[in-house]
Amino acid sequence: MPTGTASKVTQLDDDMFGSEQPAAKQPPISLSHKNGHEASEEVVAEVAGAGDYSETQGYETGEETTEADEAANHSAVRNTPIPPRVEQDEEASEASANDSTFESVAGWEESSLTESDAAESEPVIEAFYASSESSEEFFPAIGAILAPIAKAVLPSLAGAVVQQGASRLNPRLQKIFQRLSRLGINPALLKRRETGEESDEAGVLDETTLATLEQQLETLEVVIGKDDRVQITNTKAVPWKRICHLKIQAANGKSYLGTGFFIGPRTIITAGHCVYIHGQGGWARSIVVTPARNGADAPFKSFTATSFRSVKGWVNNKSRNYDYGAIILPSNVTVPKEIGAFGFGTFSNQELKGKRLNTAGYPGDKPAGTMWFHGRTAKMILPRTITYDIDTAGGQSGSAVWVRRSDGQRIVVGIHTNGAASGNSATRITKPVFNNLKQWRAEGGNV
Amino acid sequence: MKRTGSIKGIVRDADGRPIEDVNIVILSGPVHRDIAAISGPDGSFGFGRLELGDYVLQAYGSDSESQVISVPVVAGKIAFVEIWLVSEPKDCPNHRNGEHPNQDSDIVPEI
Repeated sequence: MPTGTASKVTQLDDDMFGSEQPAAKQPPISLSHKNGHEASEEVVAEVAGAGDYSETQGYETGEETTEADEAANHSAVRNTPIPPRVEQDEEASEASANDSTFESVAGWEESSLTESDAAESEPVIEAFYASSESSEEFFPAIGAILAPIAKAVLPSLAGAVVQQGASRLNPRLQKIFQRLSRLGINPALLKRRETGEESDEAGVLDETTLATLEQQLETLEVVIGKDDRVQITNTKAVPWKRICHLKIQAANGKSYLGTGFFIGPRTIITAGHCVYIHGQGGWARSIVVTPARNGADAPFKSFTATSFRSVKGWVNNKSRNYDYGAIILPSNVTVPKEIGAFGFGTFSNQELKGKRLNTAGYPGDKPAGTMWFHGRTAKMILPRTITYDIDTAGGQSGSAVWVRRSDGQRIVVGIHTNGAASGNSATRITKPVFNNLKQWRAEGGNV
Repeated sequence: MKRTGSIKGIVRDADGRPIEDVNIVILSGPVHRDIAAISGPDGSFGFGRLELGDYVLQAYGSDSESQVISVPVVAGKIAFVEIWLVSEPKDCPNHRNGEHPNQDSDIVPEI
């Protein structure tokens, strides 16, 4: 792909600058049952499309404890459709770890997901520093981001290694060296480039500069960390055909890319911020839904929706914990029955722990309209969110995060919403979310 | 109350004309919503209600992509990003490493 670019960033005064309420804090909770109050699962089964093999089975139901004050935040709200602009009122013009599995995708290797453990740390550091003379390649973009802090910190780090030896560095510095190594960054080389000289002076490594470097490294790891997402090309197969490309037109006319998934014949679940966009006029004007889009190919055509759902916790309070919503397709369009629908359910922390999480969607950093898959186990399970190291990018908001159980059922447990260097995350399907999804599924017509 | 900021910008071609349907993606930064902006007919795009901090953006066109762009989002300011996205033959004599000849070269320096 030919590349060409330049950019310029200017800071402008913002008289319209606003503020928003912080998301409610949700401390990590123990992955153990609490006095029997954690929910056993409650599941709406996956729905096979016409022609699909049947995978549905009944599931036991149970109760999940919810906070009483959550009720208001989970109160469903709906939009009043915005009269469409004439030129926009058209159909789409563009074409426990052992009881769950990752999807079977060509090119996807679960074994490649093994994280290095602490026991391997020391040799990595030593080998990295020892080989520093031979490495001359340096990714310009890395340098661009790292340059200011590199000047301040990396020469001192290199000096510290010379003075103390890598094995005697304190654990924090060792970890920084490991992360640099994984990114292919050589502090000794940087030091020579920055200073033009060899030196073993350790310099001053204060808390502020180290913290800044760690933040920069987080950024770099997201930018250039190994991308092992896998493209889905057979998008007409289960479960990919239930995943939808969303082209969102905000109320102010701006356009966005998102993802959604079918849970019923006319009901597509997505992130709350895909249907109600704070700072861009609120409720979307329209969303073009393209199930199973594969590049320019739209095997089930596209549908324009103007009827949306979310909850007060997102619409009124802007809380990340309530970032979920729905698109209800018009009743006068014919949605192919063969698409089917994802199941969804609530699971206890213990049940989610170690489960293999799958997600697929339409990231904006890949060729237009192409679907990409990735999977990992959960990194952290919080009362209202699930955090993971699944690779995602802008455009995948609203993607289903599902488990594939040993019986073959695909059950959505979260709705992907957020990216962050510290871990991407989904709105967890808790009992109130589950209830709203059931309601919205019914509003779009039962299966 | 948590303060937030925003990023706005425009994507242009080599001749300064706006480019539509370019995906602009936040690659990293503070916790952010994983939605991609698509440039409109006037090339404009925007991300609102962002937590304050340093973001990294990249733009993806149909046949070209930008380099990563560092964008600080600070209180009381709109970070306005101008991106020139140029599809070019690799041996184009007027371009070096994908840079536009009129670019501000201080954004992505080499080390």
